[in-house]
Amino acid sequence: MQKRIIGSLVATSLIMAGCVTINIYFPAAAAEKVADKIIDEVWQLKPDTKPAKPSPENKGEVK
Amino acid sequence: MRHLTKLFWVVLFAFAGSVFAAADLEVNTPAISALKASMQARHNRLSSYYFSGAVGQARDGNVAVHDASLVPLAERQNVNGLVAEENRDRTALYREIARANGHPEWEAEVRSTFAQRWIDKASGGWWVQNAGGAWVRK
Amino acid sequence: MYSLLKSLRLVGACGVLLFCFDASAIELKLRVDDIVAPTFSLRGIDARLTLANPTVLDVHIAHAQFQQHEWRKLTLHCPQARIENDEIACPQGVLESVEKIAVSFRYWPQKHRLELVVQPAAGERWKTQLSWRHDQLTMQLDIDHGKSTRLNTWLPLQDIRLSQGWFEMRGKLEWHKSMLTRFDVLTTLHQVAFSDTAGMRASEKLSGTIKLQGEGKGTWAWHASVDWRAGEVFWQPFYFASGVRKLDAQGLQTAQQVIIQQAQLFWQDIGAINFSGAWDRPAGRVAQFQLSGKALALEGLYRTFLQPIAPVGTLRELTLSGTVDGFVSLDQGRMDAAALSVHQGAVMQKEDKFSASGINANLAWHQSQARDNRLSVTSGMLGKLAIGPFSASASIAADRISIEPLRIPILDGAVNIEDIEARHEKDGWQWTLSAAVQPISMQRFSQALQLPTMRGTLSAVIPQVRYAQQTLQVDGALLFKMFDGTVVVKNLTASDLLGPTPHVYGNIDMRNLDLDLLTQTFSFGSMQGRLDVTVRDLELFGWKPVRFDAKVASSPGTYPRKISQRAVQNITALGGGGGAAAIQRSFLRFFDQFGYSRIGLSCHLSRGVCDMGGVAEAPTGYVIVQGGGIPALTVIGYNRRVDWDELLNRLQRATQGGKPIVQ
Repeated sequence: MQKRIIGSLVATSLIMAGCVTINIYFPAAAAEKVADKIIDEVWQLKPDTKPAKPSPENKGEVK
Repeated sequence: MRHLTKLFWVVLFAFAGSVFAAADLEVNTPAISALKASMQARHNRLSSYYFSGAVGQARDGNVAVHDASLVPLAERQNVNGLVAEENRDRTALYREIARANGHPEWEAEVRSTFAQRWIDKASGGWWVQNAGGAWVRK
Repeated sequence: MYSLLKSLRLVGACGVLLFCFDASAIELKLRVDDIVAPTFSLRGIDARLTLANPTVLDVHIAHAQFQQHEWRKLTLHCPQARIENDEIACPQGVLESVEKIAVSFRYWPQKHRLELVVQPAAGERWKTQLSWRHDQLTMQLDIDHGKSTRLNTWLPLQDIRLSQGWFEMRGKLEWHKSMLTRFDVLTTLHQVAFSDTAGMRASEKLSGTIKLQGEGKGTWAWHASVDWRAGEVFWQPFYFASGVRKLDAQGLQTAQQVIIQQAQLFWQDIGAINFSGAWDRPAGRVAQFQLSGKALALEGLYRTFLQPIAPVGTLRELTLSGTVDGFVSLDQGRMDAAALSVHQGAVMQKEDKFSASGINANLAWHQSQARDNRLSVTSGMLGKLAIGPFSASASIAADRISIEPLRIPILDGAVNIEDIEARHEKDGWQWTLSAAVQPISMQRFSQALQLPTMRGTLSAVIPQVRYAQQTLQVDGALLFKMFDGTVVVKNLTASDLLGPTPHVYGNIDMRNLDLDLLTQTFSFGSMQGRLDVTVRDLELFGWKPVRFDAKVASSPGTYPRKISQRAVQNITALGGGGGAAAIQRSFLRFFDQFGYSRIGLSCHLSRGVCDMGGVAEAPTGYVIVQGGGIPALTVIGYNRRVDWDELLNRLQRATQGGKPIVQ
């Protein structure tokens, strides 16, 4: 029993140590988000952030 | 024993929580804006080479000359120059993002993240380098 | 019959005959032994001669070889063969290998001569005349309209392929045993295109002549002259547009060395360069090499050869003019000595960041000794600042440069630079220097930089500057005098100075600035008093602030403290306006000036937002101007967080002379 407890403690502290390294680890998801945003700007992709301009024909129909 | 296990999970989640807490990366610095603007201006001149296949997205986060013979002889030096300038800006961009977030040592990881995203977001018809280093047309 | 046999023997050294008789014509089948000459061989030869009118000769050759080139399964068909005592001729033959090629030959057995004409395509004609006696073989070559693609197998660079163009070749070659002993070949190229697979080394419409001559046994004496008349070449990273270039070289070649005794290269837009040297063949490196040129055009030299190999950045963005005399010497694969004289040179950065003209220099370098160098410049520009004439003397060694004290006039003052030293460390060159700015009138300085006209003088002492790996670091404090006060800049560093992301860091302390001078200069509305400005953790990018912790506060001491109504209006406008209207509504509008006891404003800039504070806290705000005297006026700010760019816009509007914005 004691051995198991010690074992668990060791495991826990190892995992804690592991978690700590994760904590300062590179934020991959955020970096991807940032990369996508910058690439869109540099390559002038995704103009869908602006609402699509109605074409003159459409305007006529709206009237 | 059981509550030890419980504690274990609590600890794990506590730390996992902090992993997600550090979510957003700072990219709103004048240096990054200046680099973006410079790359955006260059993109107009580079994009025709991307479409023709003369220049492609390399797997290391740079651009590279893929087939210079698609460009008239007199223009090839210019293509080389554009590629070198773009790569200088890209390298500076990765460095500045890492620095703006207080972790200059992240530069290599920022670069590899970008490398994958440039390739993923490349238009159909552009040439990109796959994981093995071979050039493929998207 | 005997003579025929004899003649065939002469070709084949020994022949075995098989006679086959046919009803209509006599058909002779001949098996000819292998022909092995010093430079070529024909093996597995079967010949069939049909003695009719006309006589037909068919020859099959299993394997033919010329030097290292070989062909398999060749068939020669001669429909009108002529076989006589002293001549065998095949005037309209066809050679079949991969394709069918028109071939004719005449062979004179007694004279040991063979004349072979191959016409692989219409208009294309390869004529060779071979004659041999004992161990001597002579070949006369005449090629008209040869397709350049046929030279591909002979090219020394295997990844380069010729794709277009044609050539003429006239020449004579001689072999003794299997050794080439003499050659004299003139090749004229027309519209030749070549390329490697990646297109990094390629030409288009290349025309010119190549003349190669050589003679010798063991030791060769050779002469080469190349005349490039037209066509363009891209040879990564260089590009050569169509133009006149000539190379003339002669030398020797032994088993140990290739020696260039003398050579001259003439390059249009640059000039003539002479060189000589030796290549060590077993070691695979330059044994020694000397190159020299006089009155070379710097513009062409830079554009053609230096710009393409310069790193991206400033060194690629120059325009040069003037002439240079140059000398370079290599020894055992390493640069040994170099010298350069510049005459009436000029340099200009393309975006006008800097320029210099009237450059005359005598520069020298030696790998083991220090050499004296001199440089003088008539005038220059650094940004918008004019720089006067200066000259410098330096001692340059392989790993160390030291420059004697230098005085560079700027406007009506000068910068004195001393203790300039550069050392080559393992991570690159490291520069150190110290400098002093002799008084420059702020009026001229500010006008030159197109800033509001300031008064006073600018002078500074710069104790030590270090520069390495694009990072500049100022040790000690930089001291300026302006607005009747002092400005001290400490911990100044600049990184990536010539790169795309130049950052500047530092701390600034300004003491006792005269508010009157300051507000006059920037037309802010008159204020009287003294100010201290403290800026900590300043980071600039492209000369714009990114981050700082700044505090402006009245200097300690006794002095008149007055603030004009217009200045108050401008200060309140910075905070979003409204204050002006408040004054207008109150009795205070009758006063032009107010007294104050303290003025203060702090800004912590980070991520584009200025976090503001004042001289003291007020309920829900902060005090910017603490009133004093009569009439007293206190200004309280309530916006703690202000967008930096917006603040700059407001400041600019307030200082642009005119009236503050009063709604």
